[in-house]
Amino acid sequence: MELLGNLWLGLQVAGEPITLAYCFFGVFLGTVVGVLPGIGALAAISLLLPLTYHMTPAAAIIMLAGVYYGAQYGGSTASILLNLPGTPSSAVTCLDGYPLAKKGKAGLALFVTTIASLAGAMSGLVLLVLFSPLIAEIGLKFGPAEFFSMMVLGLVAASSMTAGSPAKGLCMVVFGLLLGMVGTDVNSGVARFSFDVPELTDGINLVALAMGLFGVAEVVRSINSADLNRKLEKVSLASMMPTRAELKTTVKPMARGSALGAALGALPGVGPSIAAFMAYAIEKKVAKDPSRFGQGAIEGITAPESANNAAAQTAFVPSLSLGIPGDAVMAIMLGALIIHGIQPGPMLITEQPALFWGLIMSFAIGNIMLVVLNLPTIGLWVALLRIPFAWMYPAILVFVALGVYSVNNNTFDIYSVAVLGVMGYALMVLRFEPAPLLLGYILGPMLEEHLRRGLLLSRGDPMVFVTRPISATLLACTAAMLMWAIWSTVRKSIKAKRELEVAEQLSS
Amino acid sequence: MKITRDIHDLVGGLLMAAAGLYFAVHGSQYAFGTTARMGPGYFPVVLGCVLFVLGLLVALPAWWRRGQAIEVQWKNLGWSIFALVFFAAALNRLGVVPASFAACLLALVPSPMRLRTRLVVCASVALLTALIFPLGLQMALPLWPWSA
Repeated sequence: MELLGNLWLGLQVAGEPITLAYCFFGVFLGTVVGVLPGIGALAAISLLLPLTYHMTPAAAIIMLAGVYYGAQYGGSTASILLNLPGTPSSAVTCLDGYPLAKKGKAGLALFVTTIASLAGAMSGLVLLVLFSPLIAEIGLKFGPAEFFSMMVLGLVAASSMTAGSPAKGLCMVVFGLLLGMVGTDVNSGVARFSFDVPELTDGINLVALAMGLFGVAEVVRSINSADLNRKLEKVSLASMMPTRAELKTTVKPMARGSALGAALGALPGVGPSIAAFMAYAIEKKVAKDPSRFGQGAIEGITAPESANNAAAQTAFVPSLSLGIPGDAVMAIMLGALIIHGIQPGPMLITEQPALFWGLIMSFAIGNIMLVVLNLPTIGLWVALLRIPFAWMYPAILVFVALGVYSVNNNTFDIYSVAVLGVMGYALMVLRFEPAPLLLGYILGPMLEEHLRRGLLLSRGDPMVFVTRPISATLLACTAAMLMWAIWSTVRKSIKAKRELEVAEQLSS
Repeated sequence: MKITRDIHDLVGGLLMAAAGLYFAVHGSQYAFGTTARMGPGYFPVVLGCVLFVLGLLVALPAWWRRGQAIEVQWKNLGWSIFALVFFAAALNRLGVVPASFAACLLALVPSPMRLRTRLVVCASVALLTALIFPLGLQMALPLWPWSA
């Protein structure tokens, strides 16, 4: 069995003591940033990125991935105990998790979400193992046209499915693509938009951009708002044990959530947040008594939690097998691989089997670590929530500065973080989602390269993108998504205009 | 709630349109090339125009929409950014310990913290920074002004 051999190879890589240590450090740190509202997985991963330069590629990616899925576990803790989502994808868990905690069932809720997270992650993992090599094989038949269309689909999906308006998301993607243009053009050697600054001829530093957009902006916003000096009840281990009846009610939502999350996560542009929201909506639809939702329905936390963890695993499918990141975290992860000289794409699985299968097996190990880490140490996480943010944010700022400095040993990068931090904060204030911007920034150079190559091969005939069947299908999906986004925006703005007219009539 | 236009989208959309215009205009100084052989200016100019249109699409409908006033935490933003800039300027001149201590003090200005707690937090940050970066990660950085 080839699959078994691969898994065995992965187990050997992931089972090395030093890799295990990095994996543990990753999931531990992920849980911490997940628990603490205000610092997301993105900020934590960008903060760690410079540290990985001194590691082996496998250890680096295993640690960063650990932060990513670890944060999904920790995110539910703050949602349940404080009604504050630690990560965006656990916002749904607040809806029923916090009412459960108020009823004195916080322990039960924490236990159930941990188990649901494990179940989701494991089913996502199975999908990842089965489908990544298959998709990579298809990917080998991809030409520049297919890659271009796939990236366009991913970018449009990521921007039109964000929380805000699709037009704003698209703005962010295109702005990100343009920021990706800064630096030397590979084809002609011309330094574009570099303003004769030597540092800018290499382009905008990825670490500086990610830290400015997510680290600095989040810190500035949270300085006053994230003070959590509230009373938190003690959660004992005994209070966590569900009764047999309670356990029985969680099995089906867990299965549905896992399946939905695993399927959605594999699509480019659909992250854990969307998977969690859809899982919640579905549970509400199939429930016999939908009115219980929002008042502490246990299905309302199990399904979204298993969905977001399943999606967090399958998000690696397009990233690793095609080299096209589905969301901003995956984009940074691919950035880390590229820095290590590894080109993500369909060849990755065959050229770097140790890295690929090692990463996969580390998911299994890391998720089990998380359950062991989360259940007995719940008291520690509750205590962590009591630390005032003011004690931490100065350290975060200094670490951001030194982290980005360590990439090139150049203070120019710290100044860029300051500038990009102002930009990130401005975007946050104006309610523009920065994640699609980062995705655009990473994909920009690749997108341009494939577009150029595609049109060079067809001698400038743009029809090449619609005459090749795979490419045409991908573009058709993109078009459908755009039409839907335009339609919903138009409908919304007509409604808003009517509201404004009514309000003005009332006030005059 | 005071009824205002949706200023968030109005301002944001116009800013994006301006950025698009800038990229398109500045990008047109590079060779444009043909569709078959794109020059370095092709992609930026096309994308700049797309961003310009998208920005207007965000800004225009916002005029007919209700919204809330924009809230900016100027003090938090200003001091955090000042702390970063100061840290960058001081790092190689004063060394890691004084630079991080001072940056921490600057960052804490907007926070209502007692003086003693403030000094303890700054000292801990300076200590931790020195332990992690120059000592733990072996980064070549001066610790003190006299070691610079």
